[in-house]
Amino acid sequence: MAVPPTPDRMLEVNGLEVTISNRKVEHRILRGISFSIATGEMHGLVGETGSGKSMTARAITGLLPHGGAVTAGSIRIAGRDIVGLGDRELREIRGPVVGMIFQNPRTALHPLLAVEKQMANVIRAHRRGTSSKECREQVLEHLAMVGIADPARVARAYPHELSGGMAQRVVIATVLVSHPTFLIADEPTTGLDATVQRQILEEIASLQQRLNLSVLMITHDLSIVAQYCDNVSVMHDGLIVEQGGKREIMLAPGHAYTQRLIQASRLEGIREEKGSAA
Amino acid sequence: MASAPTRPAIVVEGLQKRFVRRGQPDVIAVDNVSFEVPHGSTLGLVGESGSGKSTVARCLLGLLPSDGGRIEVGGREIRTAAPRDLRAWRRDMQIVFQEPFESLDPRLKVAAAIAEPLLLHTELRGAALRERVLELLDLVQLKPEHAERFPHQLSGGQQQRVNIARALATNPRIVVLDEPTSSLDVSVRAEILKLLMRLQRELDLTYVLISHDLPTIRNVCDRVAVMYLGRIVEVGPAELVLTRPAHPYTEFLLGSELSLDPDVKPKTPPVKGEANLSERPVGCIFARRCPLHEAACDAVQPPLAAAEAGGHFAACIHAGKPLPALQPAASA
Repeated sequence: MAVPPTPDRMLEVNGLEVTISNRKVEHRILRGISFSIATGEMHGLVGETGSGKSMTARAITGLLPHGGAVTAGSIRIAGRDIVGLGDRELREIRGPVVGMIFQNPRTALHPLLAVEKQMANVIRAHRRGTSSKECREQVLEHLAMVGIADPARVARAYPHELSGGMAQRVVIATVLVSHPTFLIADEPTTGLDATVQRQILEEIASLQQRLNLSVLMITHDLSIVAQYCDNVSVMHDGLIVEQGGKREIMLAPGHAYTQRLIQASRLEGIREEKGSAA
Repeated sequence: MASAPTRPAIVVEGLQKRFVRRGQPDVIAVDNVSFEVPHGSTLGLVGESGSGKSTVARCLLGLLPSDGGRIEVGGREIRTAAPRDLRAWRRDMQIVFQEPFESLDPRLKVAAAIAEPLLLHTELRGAALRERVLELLDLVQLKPEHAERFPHQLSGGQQQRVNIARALATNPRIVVLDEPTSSLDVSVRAEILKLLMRLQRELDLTYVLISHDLPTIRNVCDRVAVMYLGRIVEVGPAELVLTRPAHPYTEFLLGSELSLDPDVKPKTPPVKGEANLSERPVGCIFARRCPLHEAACDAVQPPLAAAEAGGHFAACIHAGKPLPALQPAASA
């Protein structure tokens, strides 16, 4: 199949409905959402627990949980509708087109394999017959690309020897070896320390610029949206309640839910509760 | 009780804690940590993974034995006291943990969970016990019908309210809050913090709040102690430490806070490198990552020295002098 030319829309989600059913009940988890991401754009998908933001990511990558199905709408990645594609076809998309990074970097790494070994496995999965020497060069090159100062040492390390921030860099480097053009980052810095969060977000933003990546940034943290994203979709209860440029959403939110979320993020009124305590 | 009212609720002096590892050098988790917490106020212990803030809290509660120093709570030295003398003190001092669900027994209904500390520490039984449980539920703004629910039937925020009710059951005077809102949604975080502030005011509680969330620290704490690799590198009134940081690490930490306003860019570049617990330099512990590093920094560990009037201290040889501004990030 011919690879379509670089479209100006990396992702187009239209009227997406996802239903999860077990024997007795059906839950409409996503109730018809639409948004799109331009090539080179970082799009924030914001919401609280249960809003459907992670389910959106799973639908986009064809990784819906057991019992989950797209019941309406379309998902186009680089121009190709992926709804209904089989595992084999999805594998041509996951990795070479879409890279994914998740919240807990250590769970994304194989605990028993040194970094170099697991990255080499990924390289070989996508390009069979790559020589060891070539593999090693690519591993070191990609570790350096994500800002690791001492790639050779990190390549030899096992996941438990890495700090959370370093582990997330390794995950990003591993994702990049298959040269994706679209990165889905699901709470990539939740659980990391403030200074490390800052380092990782700067790294993602810098890669986005250097490699012209499109990024879907899934987060509950509006300050990440304010600082790093171009556009935002605010999710609540399986729907996108508001959508727009980050400046208009953060500075002049139109929807009551967005307003509440911003207000809660500011922790307004906490000092007042405290009253005149010492 | 016996202490003069002016004596702080908690006094910690020169606290030491090391973890021994077989075949490897010891980890010095807490190194010469001293602080005071006045009655009815909140001290924020701020720092990143491995900074020792949770270890300090566990030593304070007697959940971990410490290796040296003094811990004085309510006028009593408790670090070296015999365990049976500590029962009353345990009642006085409680903790709320980060993971609300994990902190609860999944097989105990809310009523039983809240009754547990009361059965242990008080004479309340039967109707009186039941009444106290309902009173505690009301205190944390839960309804009587929540008493019959299991933890998994509650939201994260409700679970944390149950944990707070449990902690308050024995009428403690001091509550350690170990990242109490870190795993909660944004809107729930604000509600729980409001509840904690109201409880502090109504019950005259003293809080030690462990958090890495700067907005929380900013809105909740009266005093702040910034920890880095087991040491307090800066301490003082929250409004001074948070607005005029005197230690470069604090400046980086505050600079890493992301504004909700897209037009307000971070004030400092991202700090280089990572903290490493296995390094114990002779001089300043932050020197290796510090852009203001000079030869004098490596000579001797700088003590906490007054950075300005008003009880603001920092462990930096530059403290007291204005810090040369760390330049904003040049985008790569």
